[in-house]
Amino acid sequence: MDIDRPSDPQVSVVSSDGTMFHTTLKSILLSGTIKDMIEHIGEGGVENMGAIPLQNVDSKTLEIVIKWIEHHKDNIQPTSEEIKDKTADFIDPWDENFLEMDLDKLYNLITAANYLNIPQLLWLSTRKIAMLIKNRTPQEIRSLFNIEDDWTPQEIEAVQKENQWCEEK
Amino acid sequence: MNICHLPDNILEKIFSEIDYYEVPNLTLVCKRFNDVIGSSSQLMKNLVIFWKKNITKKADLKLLLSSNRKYQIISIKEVVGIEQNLQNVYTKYANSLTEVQFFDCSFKSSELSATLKILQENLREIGMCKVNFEIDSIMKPIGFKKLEDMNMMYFSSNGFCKIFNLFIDCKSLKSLRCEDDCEISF
Repeated sequence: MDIDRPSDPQVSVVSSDGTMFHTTLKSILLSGTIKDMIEHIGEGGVENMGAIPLQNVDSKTLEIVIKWIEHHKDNIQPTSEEIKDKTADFIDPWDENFLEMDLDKLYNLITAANYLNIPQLLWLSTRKIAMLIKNRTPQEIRSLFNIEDDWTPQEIEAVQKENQWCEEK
Repeated sequence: MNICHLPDNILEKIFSEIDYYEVPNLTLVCKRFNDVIGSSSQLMKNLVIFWKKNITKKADLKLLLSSNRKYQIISIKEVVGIEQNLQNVYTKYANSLTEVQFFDCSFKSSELSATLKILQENLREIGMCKVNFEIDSIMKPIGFKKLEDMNMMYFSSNGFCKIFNLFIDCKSLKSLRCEDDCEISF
């Protein structure tokens, strides 16, 4: 299949809650998962195939994902290896702004980016969470992310002691 | 939904974006964070066992020997002779340790040989600085066939060090560093 054809055909995707979205082939190919599906269909199949069902992504999240892939459809996306090697860690200000959302949306976006295999979006969204964690105490992290403190005093003392082994004195 | 509902591989990705010195702090947040970090080969590179001659408290050692973390790196300093405690730690982490570093240590060849025999399955990196040893004490227990899997060997200021045919026998060796008084022969 020639995925670099000049005309950019329309592709439809359906969220887990049944909402249909239309986007372009060039945009949707940023998803490794969908790219694999489309490549299996073969040449000429794109125009004839129906809407692609995405059982693991709800409509609110899919709308956010589509906004991101349409913005980035003409950009060269770093590979997973480049992201891992931190050779592509420049953050576009548009992305910084795009990721200003509440934590629930961010978790759903991370889960969707993981399922759809969009490495750059996954990296940006996980990095966003990491930046929120940085330089905070365990109690501050629990408060910010609404995490239950499930340690007993004895257990936490044991972990602290174990961590002392890992500090070079 | 909360952050703890994210799958392990995602939490691992998040934590890997955080500076290495903050990783121990994250283990204190909740059991889930501690478990994800302790079982992650990528994150456990940030939690090194620093073994010094003065860290041999019975309670601490018991804790280390009962830990669920998969420690990969042990850094041993200023140790003269390998005592039973250290031998027990080697045995406990034999399946996860990939790197062992010795600084200012003095071992009998038989002690070093016994250590490397325990660790040889996963060992990929060895560093030795100011350690009295003979090269045979490394080569014999690891075995020349095993050397093919080594990634890095580092020797510095080791009076008796002689490196024989390492480049021929360590096909995957990415780095071999010999500094100060190490005699290299090929």
